[in-house]
Amino acid sequence: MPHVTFIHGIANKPPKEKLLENWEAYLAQGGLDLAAGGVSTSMVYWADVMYAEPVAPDADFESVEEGLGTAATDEELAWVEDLPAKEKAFVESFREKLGFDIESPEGDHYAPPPLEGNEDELEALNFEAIPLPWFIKRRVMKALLKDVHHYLFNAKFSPRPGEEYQVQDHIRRLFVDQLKQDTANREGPHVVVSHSMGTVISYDCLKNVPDCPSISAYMTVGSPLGISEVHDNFKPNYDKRDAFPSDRVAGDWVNVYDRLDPVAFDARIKNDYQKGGNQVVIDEKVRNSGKWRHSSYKYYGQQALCNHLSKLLTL
Amino acid sequence: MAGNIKGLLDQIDAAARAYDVTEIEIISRKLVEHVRENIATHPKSFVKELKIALGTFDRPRAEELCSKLAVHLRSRATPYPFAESKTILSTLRRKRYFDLIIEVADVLIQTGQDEPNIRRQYAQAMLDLGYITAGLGVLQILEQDCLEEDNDVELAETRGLMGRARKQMYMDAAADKRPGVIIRQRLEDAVSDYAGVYAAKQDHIWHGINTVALLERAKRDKMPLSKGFPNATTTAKTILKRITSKKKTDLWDYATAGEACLALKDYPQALEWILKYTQENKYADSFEYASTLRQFEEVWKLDDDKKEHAQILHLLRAALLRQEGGRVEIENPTRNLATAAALEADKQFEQILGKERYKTFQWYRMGLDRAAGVAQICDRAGNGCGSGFLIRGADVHPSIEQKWVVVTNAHVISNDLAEQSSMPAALPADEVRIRFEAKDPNKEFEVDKILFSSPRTELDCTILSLQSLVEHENPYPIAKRLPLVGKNQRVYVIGHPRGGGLCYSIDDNLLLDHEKPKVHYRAPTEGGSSGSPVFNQQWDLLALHHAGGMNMERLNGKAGTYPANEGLYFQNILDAVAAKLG
Repeated sequence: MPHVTFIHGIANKPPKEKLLENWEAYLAQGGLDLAAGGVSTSMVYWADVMYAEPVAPDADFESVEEGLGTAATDEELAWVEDLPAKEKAFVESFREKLGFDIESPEGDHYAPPPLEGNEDELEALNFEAIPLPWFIKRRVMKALLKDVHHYLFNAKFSPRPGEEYQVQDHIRRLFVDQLKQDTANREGPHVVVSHSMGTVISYDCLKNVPDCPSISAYMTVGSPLGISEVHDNFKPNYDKRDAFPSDRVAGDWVNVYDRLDPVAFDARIKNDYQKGGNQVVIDEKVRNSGKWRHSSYKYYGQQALCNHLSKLLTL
Repeated sequence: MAGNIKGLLDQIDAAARAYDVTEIEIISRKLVEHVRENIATHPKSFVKELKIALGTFDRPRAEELCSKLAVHLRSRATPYPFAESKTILSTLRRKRYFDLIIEVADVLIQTGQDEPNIRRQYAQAMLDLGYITAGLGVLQILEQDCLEEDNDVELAETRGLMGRARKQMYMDAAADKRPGVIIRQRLEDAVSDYAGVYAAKQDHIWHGINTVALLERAKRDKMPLSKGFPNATTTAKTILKRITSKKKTDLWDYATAGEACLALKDYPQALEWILKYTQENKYADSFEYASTLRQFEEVWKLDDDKKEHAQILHLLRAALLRQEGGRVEIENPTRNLATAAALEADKQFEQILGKERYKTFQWYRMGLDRAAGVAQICDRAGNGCGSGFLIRGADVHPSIEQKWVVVTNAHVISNDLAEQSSMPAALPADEVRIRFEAKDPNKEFEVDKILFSSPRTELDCTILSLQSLVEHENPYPIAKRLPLVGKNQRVYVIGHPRGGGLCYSIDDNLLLDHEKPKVHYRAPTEGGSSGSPVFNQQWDLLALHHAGGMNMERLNGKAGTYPANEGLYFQNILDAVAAKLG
């Protein structure tokens, strides 16, 4: 039976089962009904490592799916103060790249007009140009900064009294254990589908964790993997000519992006993750609706994404 | 009862203290059996059990529960609690088990639970089953009681139902072409019932909109009514204004506003309201959408040939098919398929629907498209004996030269004498006539030869070629895998139910289980005849429907039987063809 292992992205999420159910429903909206095609699924859920409790299952996903609209996700950056110098330097550099310290020209609720011209011509997405209100952009970028830092630098974090995690160690284990469970006694293709920060975690595990099982194919969606501050901090050293996780991904890697997704900063990644010097990652552009282009549900509702996933699963 | 439970629990406790696992299991089974047997004595638990049975279309379990309730009611000293009685009847109603409502309501009333709501639901079930006179009789007595008790709420509901009964009498009489004077009186009585309630209190918009619908119908049927009835247009405007000024609107308000716009001939607005109505699918079920569709087709006489009507009708049908237990009937397939295809291609309509609803519409349209390949298998006299469907010859086996071949059951067509002498008897190939209603209902095809056949005890399948070419496009994609069980998966059966009458029906079924080559599924109503294609949720061909029954043996080694339909997994049929033809 074919299988998809999902891993979610930045910010808080509804409970695991609900999140999985939602993602399956979004894909079905896009034309890919996994259960109808006999495809089983699982979710690597790590929101509870970073947040005290999940978002209410019946919350309005349009606004809160990525933690938007909830005051709790407007991260304070006090945690930066006590970091070692090297990590602080990373945060500063990443912060500058994300650009969220820039003052809004027209106040916090100002949203720039939609971009004119060809989105594809953008080299990298500029914070000021993202057509979202300033306060929302800042929340997203702060959440991204925190999640990326805590993961890449294996920070200690306590989401609830009495529980403390080494973030990278713990989430790597969650991912690898789920993959081991999903690959045991299974026939048919096994695909990892990751969104947002989940693409950083899944890539890191597939590339760098020795006991991570192999999979048939890989899909990244709305990924920040193209940002140099991210790939430069993968351990061991990142080398773009050999960055494709060939040892554990037997087939294709499809990367789906929207040029106005503020998290998929440097959206096209085939140049950054080559296989023996060849650009083999399939970068697939989609155009999500509305202003908030990072939503998993908008991506999963895209027919192009569903067609790729269907092919990866040999449906 | 409680004493028995306590006694059993004490026994389990004692067994647990003695670490006697076997004894614990034996007593636990007794406890489960005891609770099952006496479920009706716990009204809340009973309602819960009934909802589970109805949620999985488990009709025998629902019947069993209703019988247990009836037995309990007869031995009960006090009337059954009103709240649960009401819920039991309304829950049965949502699944259209009207006969069970009558069975239960009758005993409820006899044993003292004769609140107006219970009697009204009793009468309503009679109307739903077509016992109009009996239902009206119960309602007339109830009307008097409500008047005596000053129960205005129930009085309004009762009179509304009386209007509905008389409306049905009018429609039946009109359909039978009875003398004008009789028909006119029935229509006038129906309008009086609805209009009277609405005139007394304009909060009763359901009665108001039915008044409007019937007045418009009278105009359309050129049926002059007595003076003194309100003006349809003014009433429609008042209703619309009332709904738009409401702080909180509900599902029925949307449908009612849609009807008001029909009266005002404002079709774009009617479509807007129906869009809202179909969007609230979390709060609606197939029963609601089916009722509205019926009202629009039968009373308002919306016509698929008019684009603005077709938009509304197809939208409702799409919403209906998307709901659990939905059943869409296609009486004029050529026209329905064509109008739905035209709407799908209409960019303006796509914009009105918005992305998600357009996808639902596309999904529904794809289902209609699948109906185009469904065949009716008839004997020489033209009597329907089963269904079949077209599939590309090359998809069955590379050696098959014919572009299209027909698949049906071996118990429908077979040259094997054993199949012809079993019950039901298969037709020999040379006695068969095949029609494709969605193409040309008057054209009949004859069988050229049988290419493959597997008896009813195995794959119950016959694949045959036709003597003349059939024009067809869009081959069915064939599902490569079975759907997952336990994920609320639906399968759709398209066939010619009951051998004729309606051209096609598309039935939503809940997938129950599968064990190659058998696939089990269940629908709330009977439907789909032998030889029908069974599709998964993505409209890929999954199985060949071949049987159904109340006592199907469960699959995967599970003990016992259950009500189920059974199809044969099409990939297994293809494997068998490959094994035979090489």
